[in-house]
Amino acid sequence: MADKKTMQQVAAELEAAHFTTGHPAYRAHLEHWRTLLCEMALTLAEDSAQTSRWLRVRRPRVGAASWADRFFLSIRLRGHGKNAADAVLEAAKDLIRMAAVHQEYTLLEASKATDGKPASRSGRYRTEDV
Amino acid sequence: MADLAGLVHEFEASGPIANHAAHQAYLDNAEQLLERAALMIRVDAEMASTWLRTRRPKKGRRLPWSERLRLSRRTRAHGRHAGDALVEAAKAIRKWRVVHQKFIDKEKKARQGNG
Repeated sequence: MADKKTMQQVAAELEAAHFTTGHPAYRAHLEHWRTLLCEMALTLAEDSAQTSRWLRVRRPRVGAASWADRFFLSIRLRGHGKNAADAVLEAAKDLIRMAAVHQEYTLLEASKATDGKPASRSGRYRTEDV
Repeated sequence: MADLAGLVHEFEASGPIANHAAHQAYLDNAEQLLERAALMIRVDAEMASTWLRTRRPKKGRRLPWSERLRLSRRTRAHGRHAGDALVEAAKAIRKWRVVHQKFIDKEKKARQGNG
């Protein structure tokens, strides 16, 4: 945790990345995206909860909305914030799937058993791991 | 167009609950950040899928074209899906802004009612 990057650094690296230079670079790029999106989802959820509480309990000096309005609108606002956070997490999930596809690619490339052929047509008659 | 790092810094640093104007600025920034991230993820997925399809490995065997096509297509599809999810999130932020605007309107009405 000592070398934990701030989100700003992660974003700067995302913008400057040349991820088509190799497998490790591409993997790091995906990992950066995942970090940023997970952090954004957490922040959005927390901020919507804070905002909804703030708008519910706040008492402006000159005029406040009615009790029913404040409760109803604060619940709606929190709901929208949760939906946003969920959508961002969905995007993070997709980044993980991209990493899985990439891993499949590297495994196929590296494995002697499949020898670069599709996995469904190879290794059918060999039981030992190569 | 602001850079992603600046948007992220603004998003992390700004408190949303100072006052109504600050909250509106926070929502604007968050929406802009989500749109920008959606665009960048899409472009990155396109680049990655093209790279995976056309690359020639220095060591290891090059996969047959059918495999490369499959994997690059899946990469691009996941990237597009991630971009769509982020656009959905931006949509939710827009709905959030509408609810906040309703709050402001109610308070304004209460002020006017009290005189």
